[in-house]
Amino acid sequence: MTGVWSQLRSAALIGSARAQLPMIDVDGATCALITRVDATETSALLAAGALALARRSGVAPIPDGELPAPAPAADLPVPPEPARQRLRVLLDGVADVEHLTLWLELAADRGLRAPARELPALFQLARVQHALRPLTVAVAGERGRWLASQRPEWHWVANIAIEVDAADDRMWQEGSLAERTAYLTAVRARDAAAGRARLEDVWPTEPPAERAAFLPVLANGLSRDDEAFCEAALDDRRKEVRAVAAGLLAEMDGSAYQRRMVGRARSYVIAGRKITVRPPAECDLSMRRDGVEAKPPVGAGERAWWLEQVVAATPLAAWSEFGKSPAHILDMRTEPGWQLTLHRAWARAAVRTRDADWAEALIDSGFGVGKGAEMHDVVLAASLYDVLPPAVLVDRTMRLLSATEPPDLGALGTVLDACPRPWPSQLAEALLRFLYQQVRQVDQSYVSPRFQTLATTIVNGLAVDAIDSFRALTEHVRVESKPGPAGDSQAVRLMDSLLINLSVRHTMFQEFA
Amino acid sequence: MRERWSVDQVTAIAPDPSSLSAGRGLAHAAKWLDRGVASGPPDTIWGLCRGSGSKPYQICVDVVAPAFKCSCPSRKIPCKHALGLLFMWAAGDVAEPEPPAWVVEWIAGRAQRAAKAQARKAEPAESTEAQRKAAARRAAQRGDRVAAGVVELGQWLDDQVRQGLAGLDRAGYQHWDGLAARLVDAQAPGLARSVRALAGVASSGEGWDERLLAEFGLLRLLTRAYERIDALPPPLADSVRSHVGFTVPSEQVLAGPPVRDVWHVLGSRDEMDERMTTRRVWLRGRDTGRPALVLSFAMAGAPLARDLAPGVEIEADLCFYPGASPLRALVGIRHEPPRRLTSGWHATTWRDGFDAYARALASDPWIGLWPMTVRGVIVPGDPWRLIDVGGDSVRLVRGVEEPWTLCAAAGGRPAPISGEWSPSGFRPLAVRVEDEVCVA
Repeated sequence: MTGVWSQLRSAALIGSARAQLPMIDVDGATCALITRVDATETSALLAAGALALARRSGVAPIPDGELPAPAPAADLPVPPEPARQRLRVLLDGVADVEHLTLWLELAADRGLRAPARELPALFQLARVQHALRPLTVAVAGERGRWLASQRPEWHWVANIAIEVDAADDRMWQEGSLAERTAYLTAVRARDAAAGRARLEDVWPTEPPAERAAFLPVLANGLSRDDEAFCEAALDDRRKEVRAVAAGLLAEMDGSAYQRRMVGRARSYVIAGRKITVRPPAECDLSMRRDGVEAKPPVGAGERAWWLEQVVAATPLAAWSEFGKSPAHILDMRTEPGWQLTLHRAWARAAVRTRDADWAEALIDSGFGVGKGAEMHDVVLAASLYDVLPPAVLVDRTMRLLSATEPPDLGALGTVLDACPRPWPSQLAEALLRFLYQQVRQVDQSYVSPRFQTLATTIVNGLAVDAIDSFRALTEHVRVESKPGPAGDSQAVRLMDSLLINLSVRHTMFQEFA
Repeated sequence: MRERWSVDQVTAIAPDPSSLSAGRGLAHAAKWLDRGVASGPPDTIWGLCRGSGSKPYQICVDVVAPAFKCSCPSRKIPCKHALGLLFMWAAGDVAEPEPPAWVVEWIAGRAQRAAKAQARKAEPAESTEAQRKAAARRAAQRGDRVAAGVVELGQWLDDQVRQGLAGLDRAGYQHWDGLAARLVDAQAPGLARSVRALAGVASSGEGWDERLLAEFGLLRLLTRAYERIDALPPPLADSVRSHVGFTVPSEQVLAGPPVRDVWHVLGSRDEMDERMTTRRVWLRGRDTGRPALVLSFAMAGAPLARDLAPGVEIEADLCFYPGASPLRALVGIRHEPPRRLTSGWHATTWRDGFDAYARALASDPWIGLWPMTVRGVIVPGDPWRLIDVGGDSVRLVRGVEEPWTLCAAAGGRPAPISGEWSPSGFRPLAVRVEDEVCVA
C-alpha cells in the first residue's frame, strides 16, 4: 500500500502533463478499496482518496513509554476559593499590578501558593515585570518549580530556590551558571576567604558572562582581604566586570582605590572661603582604569562629567574638613556654574553609601526640586528619600502636612513613596485630614491629575481596616457637596473612586480569611 | 432562579479587554443606586448605575439568551455597565428586591416576543399550490447549480494533477479563492469551505504535498459520491449532501428522534473570521457514550451563549443532523439546567480512541474533526506530545498556543484530557483534575 501511495505522490507532484501517471494493479490483499489505477487523473485522485482514508483510519500512536517525572505530591496549601477566583480576574486581560502584588503578598505571608492553573499566566507576567519575581517565586510552590523547570524562559522561578550543600562542590564543578552562583554565594556567606579562594581558582578560565555573574558575590563579607583580587579585576577585558570591581573597591574602606579617588577629588574641588572647582583637563588612563567613563551623556560637558563621576565615587568623609556638617558644606558659596554638578555628585555618593545625614541635607538644600530640575535629578532626589530611616520620613511628612502654607504636592508624593506602609496611625490621620481639606476645595472644580495621583498614593498606603472611617469620610463629603449639573460633584466622584480602591484591597484581605 | 454565572463566564462575554477592565471597575456597590435579580422568564439581572450624566443608566441582562439592554450610548455589546453588573452577580452581590416598573416591562416585552416566535415556529407553514411550485422550482434550480459546481470542482482537481502539485505550497490565496467563490455562487458552501481550507494544507510545511494529495483525493471522492448520490444508502447520501453544503432546517432536525442523556461538556472552541464567530461545543452522553457537536454562531463581537462550558453537564434531548455518522446536533428540550459535573469524564487510551475514529470514518469518510478524551499526560517539547496511560504517544497540533495551563493543572499525573483529533494531530481543549475542569 505504501508503494502505491508513493508512486501516486511522486506522479502527482510532477504532474501528468510532464510524467506518465502510473498504471497500477493493486493486489487485493494490499488494499481492498482499489483494485486498479488506470492512467487518468480522475482515477489517480480517487485512488489517492481511498488510500488517504485507509491511512487516516489506520492511524496509530507511537509506543513511547517514558513518562517524565510528575510534580512532587506534597506542596503548600492553596488559598480559599474566593481568593483563587480573585487571582483569575487579576491575571486576565490587562493586569492590575498594584492589586496583583497585594494578592501575592497576602498569599506569601500566609505560606500559600498560587493555584496550578494560574501559574503559566503569572510566570509570563513576571517574566517581563521583574518586580513581581520574588513574590511569584514565593507563591510558586513545588508545582511551580516543577513547571518552570520545563521551560527555559521560566528557569528563574526554579533557580532562586536552589538548595546548596556547600560541602559538596559538584554543583560548583558541573552546575548551571545560576547553580554555581548560588553555590558561590553560600560558600562566601559561611567563609569569606574560602569563597574568594574558590573564585580565584577558576577565574582565569571562566568566560566573561561567568566572571560578571560571580564577582558581585564578593559584596557580601567584603574586606581589605579582597582588595588585591578586585584591583586585578579592574584590568579585566569585560566592561561589566571592571564596573563591578570598581564598585566593590569604592565600598572598601581604606582601599588604594579610595585613596586615588580622594586624591583626584580633592585636587578638583578645593576648600577656602568659598569652594573652588578645577575640573580635570583630561580623562587619563588611570581614571579610566578606575571606571571613569570618558564619553559624557548627551547634553553634558566632558569635564563636568569626569568631575561628577570622581566625586560620586569618593567617600563622603573626604569632605568633612570643608565644614562642620553636610548642611554647612552644601550651603557654602561655590564657584559659579559648578554647584549643581557638585551636589549631583554628592547625591550619587549619598545614595551609593546610604548616608542618611548627607541625604537629608541634600533634600533640605532643595536638590532636584523646582521647575528647572532635570528629570534625572528628580529621580536621584527621590532615591535620597530611600536612604532615610522610616521615623525620619514619617516625621518629615508630618511637618510638611502641618506647615502653615499648603505643601507642594510633588514633594509630598515623593516622601510618601518612601514612607513605611501601611502608614503609622498618626500619619494616616494627618493624611486623611489633609485629603479632606483638599477635597473640600475641589468640589465642582477640576481635579488635577497630580492631586489624583497623590490621593491614590495616600489611600494605597492606608491599612485596610481604615475602610470604615474612609467610608464615613466619603459619606460626609457627599452630604456636604452640592450635586452639580452633571450629577455628583468632582469631589464625591474622587472619593468614590478612592473608596472603591480601598474596598477592593479590604475585600482581598477578607478573601484570604 | 438559575445558577449564578462564574467570573470566567462573565469574562468570556466581554467584547474587548478595555470593556472588561472598565466592567470590573464598575463592580462595586458604590457605583450602583439599585440592582436586583428578577425571576423570569427570562431570568433577568437589572441595575441602576451612576454614570457621568445626571440620569443613572438602566441596565437589564437576560442571562438565559443572553441579551443585554443598557440606556448608555455605548455601542458595545455587552457594555461595561452590563459587565459590571454581571461581575457583581457572579460575586453573589446582587439580591432579589421587587423589580421596578421599567424592569418588569422589559421582561414582559421579551417574554411576549419569545412567545410570538414560538407561535410562529409552531404554525405549520402555510403553503399554497403556487408557493409549493415555486419552492420546487428553486430546489431544482439549486440542484442544477450544485451539480455544475461539483463537475467544475472535479475537473479543477484533475487539472491540478495534470499540472502537478509542485509549487502549490507557494501559490497564494488567490489560487484557491477564485474557485471557492465560484462554488459559493454554485450554492455549494461546504465545497467552498473545503477548497479554502486547502490553502492552509498547501502552506503547512514539510510533507505538505502528501497532505494536499490526500485532501484532493478525498474531495474527488466526494464529487464522485455526489454524482452518484441516488445510488448511495440514504444515511451516507445525507452525509454527502451536508459536506457539499446542503443544510437541514433546524425545525426538521428538532422534529427528529431525540436522544436523552446527561451530556458532559468536554470542550469548546471558538473560530472567528471577520464576520462571524463559530463556537464548537463537544459533548458526550454519559449513558449512551455518543459524541456530539453543538455549533452556535454569532456576528463578530457579539456574545455567544456560555452555559455549555467545559466542566458542566446537562440533562437534555439532543437531536442529531441526519448522516451516516451523526455528530452535529441541536439541543432540544432541556430537562435540567446545566450543572457542575456529577460524574467523571469517560476517557480512553489512544488505541481505543483511534478505533472509534476509524469506525466513524468507515461510515463517513469526510469527517474533519473528531472528539477524543484520552487519559494521559501532556509532555512539553518539540513536538509536544500526549502520552496515554499505556505509554502510547501522539503529537499535538503545531502552531497553536502551547497548552501550558493544562500541563500545570495536571502536574504530570495522568488525567482525562479532552480535545479534537484531526489528521494534523491532536489539539487538547481541557483537562479534568480533582473534580475541576481546566481549559487550555
